[in-house]
Amino acid sequence: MTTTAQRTELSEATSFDTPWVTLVWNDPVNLMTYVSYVFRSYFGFDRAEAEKRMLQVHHDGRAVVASGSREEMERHVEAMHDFGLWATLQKEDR
Amino acid sequence: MIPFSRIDEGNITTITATFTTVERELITDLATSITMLLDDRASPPAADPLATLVGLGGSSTVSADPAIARLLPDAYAEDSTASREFRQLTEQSLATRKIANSRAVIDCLTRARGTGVRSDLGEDLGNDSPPDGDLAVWLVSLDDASAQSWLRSLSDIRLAVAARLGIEHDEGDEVDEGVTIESETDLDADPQEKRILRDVYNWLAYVLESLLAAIERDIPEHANDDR
Repeated sequence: MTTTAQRTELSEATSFDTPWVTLVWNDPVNLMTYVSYVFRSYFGFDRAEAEKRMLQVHHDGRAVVASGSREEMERHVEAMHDFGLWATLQKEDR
Repeated sequence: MIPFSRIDEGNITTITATFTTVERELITDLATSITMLLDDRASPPAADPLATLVGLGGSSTVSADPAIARLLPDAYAEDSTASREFRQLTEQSLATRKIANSRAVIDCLTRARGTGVRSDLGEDLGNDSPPDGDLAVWLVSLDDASAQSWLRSLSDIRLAVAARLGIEHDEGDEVDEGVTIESETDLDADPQEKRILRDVYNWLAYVLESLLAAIERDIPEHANDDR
């Protein structure tokens, strides 16, 4: 009999030891107030932290907003896309 | 429009705004465009129905249409294989949620209460009476869930409109809607239409800011004192 309990990984190269990060990228459309709001309401940053990261996105072109497992980061990216922000995930730079 | 404001009655929050007939029709049309734009990505015509059931089998590449591409962007900046896999697993549900948000906006506007503006009217036109030309205004009432749908739908609409305008870069100035560098699009053939769309784009920013301000009063800086 086959087991249906096995979880299918998204890809074979799941990294258990390298942390992944979610990046939010600057875009000319989304309002700064909106980006701050998303950071506060979704990630739970307080107002000061959300402003800081939003300004990082605005001035540096992108900011790290989360780190953790690849799968967690994929969920965050999807959530950001729900809001209309552009986000990507990648392995954390060492 | 009369900007969004918030009414808190005990535990129940209502966020309301009033739109003119033109504004109501405009947002309805724009939200409808989003649903049409994303329809193929939410329900790909050639998809295997079984795969569709579990959300698989969506397109694997980012759209050539810049508006769709911006709404359904890549998840990996430098790994096209990973992007492709992720897209196949998630794009359909993302597109479906975006369509649902825009449909919620259309629904709210359809159900909006119409009232005559003139003081001698002051009567409730209801939903079925034809609005008295431009003199009718439409009251929209949102609960928390529909406010969230409006936020996301308005953002999607702005992204799509910006793509049509060819807005690609900003110059990093203080004002959100400051000078932007626009690439050439089909709209350049029609400067009048481009100007109108630009005005719509800016107005939508105002609507979005207004909605945000009404919603934001809900996010506590610290624990609420409920007495």
